[in-house]
Amino acid sequence: MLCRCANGFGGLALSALLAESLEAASADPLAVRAPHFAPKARSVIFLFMDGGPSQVDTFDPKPRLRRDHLKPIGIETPATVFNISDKLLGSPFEFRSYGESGIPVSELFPHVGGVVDELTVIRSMHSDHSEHTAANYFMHTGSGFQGRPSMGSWITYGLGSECRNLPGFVVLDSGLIPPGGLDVFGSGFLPASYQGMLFRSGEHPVADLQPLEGDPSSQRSKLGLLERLNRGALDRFGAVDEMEATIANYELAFRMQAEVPELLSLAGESQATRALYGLDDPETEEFGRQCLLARRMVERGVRFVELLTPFREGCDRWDQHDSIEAGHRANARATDKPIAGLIRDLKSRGVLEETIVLWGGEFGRTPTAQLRETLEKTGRDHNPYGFTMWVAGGGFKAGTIHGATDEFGYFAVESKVHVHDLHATVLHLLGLDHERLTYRYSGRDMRLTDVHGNVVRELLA
Amino acid sequence: MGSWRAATLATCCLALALPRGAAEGSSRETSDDASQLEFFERRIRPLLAEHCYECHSARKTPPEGRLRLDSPEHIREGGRTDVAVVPGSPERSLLARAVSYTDVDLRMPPDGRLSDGQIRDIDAWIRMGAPLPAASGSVTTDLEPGIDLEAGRRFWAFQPVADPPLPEVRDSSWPRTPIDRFVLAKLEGRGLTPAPAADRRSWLRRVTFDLIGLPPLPEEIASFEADASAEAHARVVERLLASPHYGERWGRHWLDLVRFAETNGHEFDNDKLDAWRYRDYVIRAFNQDVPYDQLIREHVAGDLIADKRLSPDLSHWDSPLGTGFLWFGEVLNSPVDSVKSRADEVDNQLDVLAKAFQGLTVACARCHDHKFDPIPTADYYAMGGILHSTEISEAVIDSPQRAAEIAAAHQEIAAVNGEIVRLVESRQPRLVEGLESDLLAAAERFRAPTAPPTTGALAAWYETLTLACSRPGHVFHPLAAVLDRLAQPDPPSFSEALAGERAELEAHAADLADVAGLAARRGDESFEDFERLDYGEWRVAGQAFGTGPARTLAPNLPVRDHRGGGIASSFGHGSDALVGSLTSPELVVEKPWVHVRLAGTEEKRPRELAQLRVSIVAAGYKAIHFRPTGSGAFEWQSQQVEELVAGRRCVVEIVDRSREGHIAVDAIVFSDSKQPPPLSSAPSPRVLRMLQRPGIDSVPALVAAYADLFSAAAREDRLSLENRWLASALVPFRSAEGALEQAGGAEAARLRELRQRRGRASERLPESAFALVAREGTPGDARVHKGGSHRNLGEEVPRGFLGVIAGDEQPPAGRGSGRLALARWLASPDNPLTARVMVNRIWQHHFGDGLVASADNFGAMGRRPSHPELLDHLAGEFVRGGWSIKELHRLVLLSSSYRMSSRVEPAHAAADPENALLHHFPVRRLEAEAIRDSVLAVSGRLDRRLFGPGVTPHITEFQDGRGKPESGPLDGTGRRSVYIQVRRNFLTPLFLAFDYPLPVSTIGARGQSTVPSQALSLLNNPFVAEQARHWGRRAVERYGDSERRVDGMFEGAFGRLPEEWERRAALDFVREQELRYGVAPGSAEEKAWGDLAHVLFNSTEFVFLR
Repeated sequence: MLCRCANGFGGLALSALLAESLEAASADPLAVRAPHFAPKARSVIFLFMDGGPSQVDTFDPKPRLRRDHLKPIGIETPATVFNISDKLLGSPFEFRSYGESGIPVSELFPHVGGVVDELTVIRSMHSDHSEHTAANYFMHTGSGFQGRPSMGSWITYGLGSECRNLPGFVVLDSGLIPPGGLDVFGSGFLPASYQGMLFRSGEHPVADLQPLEGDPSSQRSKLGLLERLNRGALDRFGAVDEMEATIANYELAFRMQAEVPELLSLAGESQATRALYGLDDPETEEFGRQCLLARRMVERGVRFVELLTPFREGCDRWDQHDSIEAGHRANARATDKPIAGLIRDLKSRGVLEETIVLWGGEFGRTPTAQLRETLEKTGRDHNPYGFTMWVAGGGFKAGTIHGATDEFGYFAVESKVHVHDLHATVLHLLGLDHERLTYRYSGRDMRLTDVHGNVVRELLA
Repeated sequence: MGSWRAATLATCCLALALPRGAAEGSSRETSDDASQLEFFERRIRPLLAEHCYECHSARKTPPEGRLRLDSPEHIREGGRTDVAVVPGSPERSLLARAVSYTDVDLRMPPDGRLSDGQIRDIDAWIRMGAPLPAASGSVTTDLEPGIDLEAGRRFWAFQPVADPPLPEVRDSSWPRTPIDRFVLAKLEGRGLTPAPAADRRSWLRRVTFDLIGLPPLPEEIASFEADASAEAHARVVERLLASPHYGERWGRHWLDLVRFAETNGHEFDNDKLDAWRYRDYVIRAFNQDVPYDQLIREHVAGDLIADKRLSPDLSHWDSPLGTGFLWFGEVLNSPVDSVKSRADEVDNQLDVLAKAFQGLTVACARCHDHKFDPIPTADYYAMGGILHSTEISEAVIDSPQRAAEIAAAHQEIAAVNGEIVRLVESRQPRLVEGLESDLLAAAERFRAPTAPPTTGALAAWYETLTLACSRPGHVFHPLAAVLDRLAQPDPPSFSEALAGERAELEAHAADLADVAGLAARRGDESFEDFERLDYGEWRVAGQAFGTGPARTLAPNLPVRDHRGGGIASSFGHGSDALVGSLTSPELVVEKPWVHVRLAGTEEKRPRELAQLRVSIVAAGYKAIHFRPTGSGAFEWQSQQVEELVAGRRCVVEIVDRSREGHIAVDAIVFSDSKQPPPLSSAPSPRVLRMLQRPGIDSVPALVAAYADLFSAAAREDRLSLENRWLASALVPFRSAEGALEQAGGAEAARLRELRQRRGRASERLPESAFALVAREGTPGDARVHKGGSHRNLGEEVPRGFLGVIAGDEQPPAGRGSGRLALARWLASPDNPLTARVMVNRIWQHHFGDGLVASADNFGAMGRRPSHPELLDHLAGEFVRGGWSIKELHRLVLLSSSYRMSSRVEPAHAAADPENALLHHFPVRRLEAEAIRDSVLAVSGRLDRRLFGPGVTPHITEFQDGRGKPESGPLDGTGRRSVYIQVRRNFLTPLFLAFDYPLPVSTIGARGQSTVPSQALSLLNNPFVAEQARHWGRRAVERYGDSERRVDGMFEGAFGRLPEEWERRAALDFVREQELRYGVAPGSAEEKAWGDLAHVLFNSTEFVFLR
């Protein structure tokens, strides 16, 4: 990998004792750990589509909806958040088949359509929660409550990080933190080392990363004195593991100060690469940059990168209770090309096969309409009972559709995949047995999949 | 894979299965074996359970190879092939060979090799002689139904607290206290000796942080060093225990246990009202050394106990505040399934209560009997029923004395009000003086088809008549209607017009007789109209609402559109300064709409924080709120009933927490109809009688009749609501008071003066205290939720406590919720867990680890005590000492054990690497709050004030999400960290970097992680940098020469003076930095010393304690 393993305060020599302690697994929670069995994938990029994109308008075409447009659905449906109507809403978007696989994709995603042969479209996802916050916690942590470790935390806990200069779990914020707040990416009861570190878009993406000293030699000088005092403290206190780990920790922090600006600088990326991600278009620039950063992080050995939905004026995430047509268009426009660029770039660099790319929201949307005064303003309500996510790379079976919803696209009916199953399958491809990846807390051996989850073998290549 | 799955599913939420009786043997083992047995229990048995039981336990008949690994006897016995374990020799042990996967024919477990670490553990265990607990009697596996409480009670933690004799020791010179005898005996048993005493400065820094969470001041160091007496240490301990900062430090430890938070989290992170009062209560309780059993009783039933405590300033009841801890959990913003939400909330309450007070994971028994501890699911719902019968209430907790003070102070306000009333009354007849001519002018204008007047009284009158025209109940309706008739193209005569109007009003009155029928058609259900003489079953708190509904309006309260009758008004005494609340009896809302008719001062705060509001509250969730708009009129407000409230037991709260506003409620109606109920528009009988008067034959005559009517009213019962209702028709014309004011002159001046006096008196009115505390709900037993699902209800369980502690025969919970009984069980000296759990927590905060390392889990899956006799000795002393926490500190802190140095002898480290036997004092990193507080303390910016509403946390650009508050100041105004608000979704990043707990459940022992953000925040965080600059400047100002500056700063940061090489290094560094800054004009010196301060903040010695 490209990850460079710098040591010491960039030229300042630390005592051999400290360098050794960094290698000791006990002192370094991010040290690489062996998986339970041979893995297919080594990292994950989660394109989290906050708000819940509509499956019937993206990857799960339902002609019935157009045929019976605005007619009552005629079947019993569960209570939704707003309970506005039982009338079906035909998709305003055209679908067509792409690639050799012929998988249908709506006009929202022409670029993703172009890489559809790399995708496994799971049309039979289902979840347990129908409002955002709990559903977000659930999709990320396997529990509808605040305070559990996020998927990225579990995976970093299980495998460690291959990069010594960056955290193992990074969240790339494009302007919208999902309901549930930063705890969606929290490490819960796992040690704090595993929590998702938020990188904001913009010049200063990481808190407290920027040295305050304008003159770098001034910080060096401080660190020089600090090192001497710390060595004295070790003598005085005795060789205490935690103190040695703390000293080593300053080295990682120091290296991050140098590594992160380098990581963020796209100066070395070719014009062709920039265009591939849509950096040349103001509409796609923001998310394109985050996708490109995700690739650069994965290359450097970051274990889990999560991308959040970019902010689009006027449409709150993918949560289109009204004006679904305009809102979904805006959201898709901002992400379609960057996502396709990411897949192509990973593929051409040969890293797609060891990188799991995961796309989806916390739930889908109802095929029935949330009626407004005009059709144009009409939207769809939340639907956790059947929705679409897709996966690519990392040992998933490319170019296939898995499972199905009913004729309306309301309930998953065939080869259903629960959120716990998806978690179990992702862990499996990373070489982790979801039943053995446990952490003792509160008298229980906790798991990402709680007491549920099956590896979905049909999804595997 | 197949057998894996089955194994894990069989044990459900717990990935491991342990025979229940297993662990009880350990208490009978000699203590030297404890750590080895611990190794078996923690590392080996869970591993066997997870990977082997499927085939090698009672679950499988017969077990594979006739080998069972699910009990010590069976492990010793071995299987068909051979003995499984040869103590001391992994090479000859079948078990070790099988798991090593080296033998092609014998690879276990068959579906995948164990991890290297697990295999190493098995080897290590066999090498240490394969220690196993003594025979465990009957082995129960999780497949056998039911829990044998009698067997469960044999587990050490459920055994009564023993009174062990003080052990004999060889070195009788070392022990200072009984504690030392227990510690030393263990050490001597292993051939170890305790570390020598720490130097005095280290001990002082240690004990100062331990008790108050702040570094010792230079003068405190000097005074301790100068005190050569034998009592020097005791004096320090007494000084620190008496410090008000003691409660801040230990209160914060307590807040970890109750997942203290000041917001609800979830989507919008709304505020929990008054949470800071609980925080202050805890700080006070620790400072006052409230006996621990009392503290527990207050937490569970502080609103019910007979011996309630008052706050030290005697202003409010303190005890009820304890119950607030029940409600610090997360609150869903708009739960789709409110019954489940409530069940989840009770689960969290139960989880916290059981872990914090009993060190038990009772919440594990929600879905099935506890897998490891003797806690049947029925016990979970027995306790759950108590919490389901408990509700939250926004209560006024003023002490009787404070209430009397308020009442007394309010007498002055009332007296002034009386004078105002008399003044206004004296003026009131004159209010109608110009009435006749004004009204006549307006009437003529109204009748004439010209443009309406736009200015002055005429315009106001014109507007009133226009309004009255469309409202049959309006006092001026007859006049306006007659004028309207007369203005028609083909007008009737006056008498015809009047007769027509009379006939119409009579017909209308007949219609109105069918009001009840109308209400039935609309599906109206009047919940309250305040027409009784008292508030009935409503609970009255505070003084604003008086003792019953108001029949008269205060003279200076201009409220229009009052329809007469009673109102619940917080202006009953004519003062905005009083606060209080009304809480309705419980109701179940079954209608889709709720309509409230209210008036009052405009309320601009967010609905949950509004100080004037009507709320409908279900199970602690404030779901529906109405706020007055300040329009000066009674008006209906309507809202749809939310899911949260529908079909559930609720209360209505009418709240006035504002010292500058009021609220008045006329009616609360639930309805099928979206539209508010029509008001009775029956014309007043007085008006009807007036119309019957003979001689009304012209518009002027009708106007004259009106003038008479008002004059008469003004002379009579001037302030009756009926009269006000009449008078309110005279406004657009303002209130009588307003008229007086406008009139000017001496009377107006007098009025101004009276109002000023009233304002001053209002300001002097003592504060009332509001708080969220428990109240009794509708008592009822809970039904078992089968599999944890509220949709699958099982049998009803009588409210009660854990059978393993309280016994099988428990007295019935009685007529209330059962909290009093629960408090008794928890706070009983006979409860085997309560004292043990608490003394262990105190020990843990002094020694880093508890005697039971799993502070919140004393069950089978928890750790066994390292010093069981010492634990019981301390628990016994605790109870005998009247549950005094401070007394326990004294026992611990004055011991030789606490005085040991933190340096480790290599031989000792080899013999007991975990320091389980305490051969030295462990080094610890400071907690997040102690780090921040120390930074402020040494920089000189610490604000040492106690108590009060929290400081909003500083919000960085890296914190985002819904419910983001306005950022507080970078330095939190220098307040101690315990006073920074705990906003669930916006916790302070600096704290989180240093393992500050998430407020989710009980955290008895915080994590000790090492993450880059710790280093980054101390290196680059603007707060730290700012404080470093302050400290540098302070050092320069304070000490003339450089060497003394270095000495002073080292002493401030580390509690010691620098060694010579350190002094030199620091001086060299400062000189280097000065040269660096020398080129820039200004304070190169201060900047350089600030840099030294910054380095000291970052040094390990600053954040670690030895």
